[in-house]
Amino acid sequence: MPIITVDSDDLKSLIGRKISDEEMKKVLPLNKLSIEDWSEEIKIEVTPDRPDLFSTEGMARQISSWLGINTGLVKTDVSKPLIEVVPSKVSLRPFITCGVVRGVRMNDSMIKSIMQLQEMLDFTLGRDRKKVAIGLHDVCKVIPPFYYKEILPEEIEFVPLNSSKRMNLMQVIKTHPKGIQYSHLVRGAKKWPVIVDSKNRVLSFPPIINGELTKVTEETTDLFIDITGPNERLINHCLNILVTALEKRGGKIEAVSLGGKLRPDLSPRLMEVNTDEARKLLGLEISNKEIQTLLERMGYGAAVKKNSASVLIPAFRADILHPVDIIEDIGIAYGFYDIIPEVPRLPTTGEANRTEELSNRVRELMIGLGFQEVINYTLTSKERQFAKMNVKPESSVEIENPVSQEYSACRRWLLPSLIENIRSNKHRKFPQKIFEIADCIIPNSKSDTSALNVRKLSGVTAHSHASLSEIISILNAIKENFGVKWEMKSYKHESFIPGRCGAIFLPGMQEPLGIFGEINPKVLVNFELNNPAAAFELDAEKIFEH
Amino acid sequence: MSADMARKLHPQERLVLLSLEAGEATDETIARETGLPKAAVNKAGLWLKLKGLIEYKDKKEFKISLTTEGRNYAKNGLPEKILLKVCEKDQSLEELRKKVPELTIALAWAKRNGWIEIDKGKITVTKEGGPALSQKTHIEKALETGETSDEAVLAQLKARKLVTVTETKEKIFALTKEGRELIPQLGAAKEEIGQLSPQDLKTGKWREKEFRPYDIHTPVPTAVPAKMHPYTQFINYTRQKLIALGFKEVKGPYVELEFWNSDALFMPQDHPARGIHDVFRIKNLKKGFVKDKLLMKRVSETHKNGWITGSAGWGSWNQEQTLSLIMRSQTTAASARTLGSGARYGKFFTIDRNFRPDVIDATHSFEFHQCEGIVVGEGMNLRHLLGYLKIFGKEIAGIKEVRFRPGYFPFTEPSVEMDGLVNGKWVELAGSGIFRPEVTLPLGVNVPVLAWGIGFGRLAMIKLGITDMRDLFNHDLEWLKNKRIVY
Repeated sequence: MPIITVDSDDLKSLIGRKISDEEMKKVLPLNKLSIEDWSEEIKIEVTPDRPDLFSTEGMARQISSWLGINTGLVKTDVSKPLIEVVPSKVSLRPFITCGVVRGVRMNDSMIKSIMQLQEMLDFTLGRDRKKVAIGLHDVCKVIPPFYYKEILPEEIEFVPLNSSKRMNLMQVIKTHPKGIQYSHLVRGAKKWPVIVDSKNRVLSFPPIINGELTKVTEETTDLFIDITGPNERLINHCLNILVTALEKRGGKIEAVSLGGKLRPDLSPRLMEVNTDEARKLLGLEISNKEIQTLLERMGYGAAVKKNSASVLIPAFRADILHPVDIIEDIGIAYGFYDIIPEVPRLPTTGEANRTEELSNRVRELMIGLGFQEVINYTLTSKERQFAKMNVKPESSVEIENPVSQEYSACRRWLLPSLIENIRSNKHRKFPQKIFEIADCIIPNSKSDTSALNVRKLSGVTAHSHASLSEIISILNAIKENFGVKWEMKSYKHESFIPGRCGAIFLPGMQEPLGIFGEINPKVLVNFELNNPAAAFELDAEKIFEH
Repeated sequence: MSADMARKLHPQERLVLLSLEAGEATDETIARETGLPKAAVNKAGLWLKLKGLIEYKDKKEFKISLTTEGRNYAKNGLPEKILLKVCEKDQSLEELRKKVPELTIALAWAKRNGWIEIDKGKITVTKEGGPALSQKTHIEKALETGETSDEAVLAQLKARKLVTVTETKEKIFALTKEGRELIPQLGAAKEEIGQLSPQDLKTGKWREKEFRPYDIHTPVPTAVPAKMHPYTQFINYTRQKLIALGFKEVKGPYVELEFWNSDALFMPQDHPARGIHDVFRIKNLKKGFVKDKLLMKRVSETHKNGWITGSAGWGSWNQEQTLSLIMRSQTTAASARTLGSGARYGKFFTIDRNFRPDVIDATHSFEFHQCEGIVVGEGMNLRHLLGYLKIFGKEIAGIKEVRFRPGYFPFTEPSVEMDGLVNGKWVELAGSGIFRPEVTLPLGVNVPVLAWGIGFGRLAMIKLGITDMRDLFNHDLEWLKNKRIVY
């Protein structure tokens, strides 16, 4: 989850009344603002559904409203457009939206907050500029109208931000740090997007970098904002969040004429919320009137008639998809600390999963037989599963993006991990007897996921006299205690010593239920074991199926 | 010295103590005198020493053994003695050469002993020489008996290479002052029972004997039991609590469709948590399938435009992606399957493994357990959700003081975080919420579904008293031996 850094004094000054640290500490978490660190600067974890809270300005607006200082829908004036932006077909990033904010009083905290907001929007909603790329410009440095168009990478030269060299777009991609970082977003396209002014000077090469020409400094008062991306709804939401945050700093929002449309469009959206539904979902006995007040304390405009609330959603709330999103806000306004928990009457009978329960019965028996339980990761390597066990590789589920080769495939049997466990316990006392009962993953074309979880049981005994007869006596105990009618037959398996290996068959079954024997010295050497070992592995669920 | 101590002595201790009354002795001597095996003498000696009744003293001893030459002399006599014998009859050098072996040595030692004088090639037996013939020298005695206490003799034997000497240290048992004082209290050894024998039981002989009291403080090694792995113990502990609360345990597969892992949970297909850095993709399996085609259609419509849920939807859908296979990244997938397969009423939970491409360290793992569940039923609401969370906090985590705050999960609205007061600090314990209609309606569920998840790994670490997440899978036998039972 994103972490936003805010200046505590700055935040307090924007709330609209004096507020103590204690009150802040209580109020912030109740507004989806989780305090991570509280010193001179406060670090606040925000939730990705509320990008309007990604700035000091946005948080101040929320808290001020929640505390009842400035409630209801904030009216925002948007003055008539003075600047025209001419869009044209840009295949790579089809949509652009723009806005102007004039008369902003720049100061240190404000610049920090707005830059952070821009970065967070780029990163979270924008999926690291893929869906949203934002540019802020000093509008006094260029002459409108501005043009959004696509050009060949070598067509125009400009000085990119924080550079002194003129270069074309291809050179930016190849040499500028931001160009290198985001080159994957333009590579492969023939033509790349630019925004230029009436004199063909570059304001921005979205989504890579702005021009040095329109760089925002402490002297800047009038800002031009451009946002580009593949989803029109999303970029307009981001624009609305940005301009309303700037407005909180004393700016005046001015529309831009964008291909005949006016942007930003800050008119609120209307959504109907059934107040009975709200009461039912929250479990709160609150009147319609209270609901209206609570809605207003979350910055909504609200008019409740009968059991329907007509809710006006401020233009910066990008997260409202469904009435339940508004119902949650009613709960937040009510205050989560004040909601009294209640255990419902919902009579049910608890029930354990059969496989888990039977596994516990097996665990009890194995422990009674003197075997210590171990647990291992599902993820392992094909090398350990097959090569080190002296067997040919069998089909197993492999990971496309493993964190390391050691954990790059799902285990299809448990024994290799157990032998590895014995290796890592080489310096401990012998005899060592361990077992594991856990799911293995077996590819299976009939399964909807092309694989199945199969519960297996494996046990190993390692000491100077570990033998076939010891393992058979353990298996006999399992057989007799669970009443399984299996038969043992001699078997060939390369992990075991030839002539000292067997398999278990259920009546009428062609495939063995399990295998056992004395571990082949080749395997012992592969795992660097100094003691002989005998082991078994079997399909645990089949034990109970007979 | 208490009579109690005397009473509690093991019969073997008693025997050893008594045998020492006459003076210090080695274990061998004591064993000979008491008839006990040497090992038993030593064990009893150690116990007595721990009780301060005896002490150990070291005694140095020289043990000599004859060399081949030494054995030859022992059998045939010393050359100088043979020389003396021959000299009695004939002192001519010629005769001596014939009859005396190693003549040079014989002459040298006979001269050194003052038995003969040699003048101009002529040998005369001295006054001392005469009687020497009938007396045994110290050297001869030493060779005969194989021992000597005379350092000078030993030096001579060594110099003549007749013996090899090994030095041995022997442990001598000696009574301490306390030990000596205790002896009068030992009295006559009464017949006492140590290990009760089947014979004594059968014959009823035990009735006539007294049971010797044992010292419970005698150190004994700790037995090593085989146990369940501590993490299994905690998982079972939690399972039992949830089952007792009326929850039914469900399972889902580790290899999962993106459909169940994310799409059915209304997570947008380009959600960051679905990216290559957060989900393991399967390399070698072809795509899976969703049996219920209508269900898949409803989910896809909901993503595209909200379907009939009243939602705006995400505006996009990729059929290819929903059927791709991944390693399950959240157990919520099992909850989605439970609803998808027809659960319309009840309480369900799962505790199982999940997988994410995290590098493994003290706080992260690529494979980790989650514990989560759902409550499905008409009229379920936010207060009920808080009610269940509070019970979990108390029953599973053992935490009485909890607080709730709004949170965010892509599939729930409203969403709640629960913190618990652990050692004076608020710690995140559980995340939860009510499934969005975009989740429930396409799954065919028309009632509210409360969904919750417990920070299971963290809770297990608190309960097991560990600080490194990797220890949840620890298989060091010594570690397992020392880990306490979870209850």
